[in-house]
Amino acid sequence: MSDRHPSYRFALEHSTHEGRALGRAFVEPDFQPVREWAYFEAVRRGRLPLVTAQAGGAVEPIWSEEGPPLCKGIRILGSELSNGYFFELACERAAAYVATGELDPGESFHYRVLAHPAEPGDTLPPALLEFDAEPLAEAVELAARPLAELEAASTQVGEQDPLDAPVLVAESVLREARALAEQAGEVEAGGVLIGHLHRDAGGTEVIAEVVAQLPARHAEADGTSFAFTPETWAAADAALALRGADERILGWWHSHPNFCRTCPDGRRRACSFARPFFSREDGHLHRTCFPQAWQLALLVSDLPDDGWTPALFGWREGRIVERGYRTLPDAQKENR
Amino acid sequence: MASPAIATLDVLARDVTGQKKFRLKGIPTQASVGELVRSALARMGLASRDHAGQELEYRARLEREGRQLHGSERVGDALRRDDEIVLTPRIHAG
Repeated sequence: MSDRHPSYRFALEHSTHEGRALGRAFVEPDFQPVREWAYFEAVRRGRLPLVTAQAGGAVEPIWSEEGPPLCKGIRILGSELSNGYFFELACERAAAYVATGELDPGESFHYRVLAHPAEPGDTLPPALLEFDAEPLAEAVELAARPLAELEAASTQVGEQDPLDAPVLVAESVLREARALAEQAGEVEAGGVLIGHLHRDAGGTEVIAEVVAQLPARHAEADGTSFAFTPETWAAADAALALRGADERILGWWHSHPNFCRTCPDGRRRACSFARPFFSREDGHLHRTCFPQAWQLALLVSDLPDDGWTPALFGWREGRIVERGYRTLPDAQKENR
Repeated sequence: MASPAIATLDVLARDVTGQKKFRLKGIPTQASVGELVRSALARMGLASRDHAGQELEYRARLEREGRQLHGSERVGDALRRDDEIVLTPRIHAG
């Protein structure tokens, strides 16, 4: 999912916290999520229409005060991001320095981001078959709904980050997902979230409203994994068509059973599995199937202390984070 | 002597949420559906590998017939001009 024709190649330069140089290496950041985020920001401000197309736009370095090739961030579609976007890649690279003994395990490190103009050969190899692919950008209809009224009728869960678009989730969705997760017990469960995108009648903000969940049919599940199969997607499409309510797929959900059941109490408290978490597989699935900045992932976790607990994840500045949302009572949903 | 023209056709392709739609133009009819799918992934910005670098399995669902095409089917046999296919992965959450 790298750029086919990048304008710049980015590199990371690592050093220890004492300033000892570790090395410099080219990296291939996945910039598509940040493109999608920047595009959605423009949609939320009423500067661009919402269309069904992959967001484009060149990623440009923002040069540091020291000048090129050192960057202090990146710019895309008028939005700016700090070098924090490279943090995960920097950690992966640091792990390689640990593996070669150049960095001690647990030792802190610094990294700097560098950008170099791409060479003509810095493109991906051609695909198997030669044919043209023309993106089709179809307008996504955003019905006007007053955000203030929706907020008055709903309850905030978690903290609403100012960077996040408002999300409303029907209480029935949470209830059903929890029940299905509980029913599945020690095996993971999952499904698809469906609903509508609205435009605030009093402004430009885009609102996502999750009205229902479709349990995943033909999925393959065990205690640590849940697979959406081609038949799962076909069944979800068929269910959407049968409902005939002009809904769209807004995201997906899945459950995490209690991974800490057999762990001693003390270990549980420090364990990251004892909290809602997005695994690498979860992140990859979200990136692959739900890359638009408004797409969501609901996780229902059986936590050692709290039992089945929902948490909503979404895109923020091109990264997947746990986010706040509002719950809409079922009666309000039925009155739509 | 001019080389013989290769027969091609155009189809519409989309991802599972319908947010990425493409018109794929000039697909050789002699190609297999599997080759078409693998070639379409990169052009549509879809991942071809899982988080561990293993190749992801995709199927193409032909909307006209409501069936998953087999990778070995020939494009010219399975598809008609302007057919719509949906690229659907088998993909794992953890």
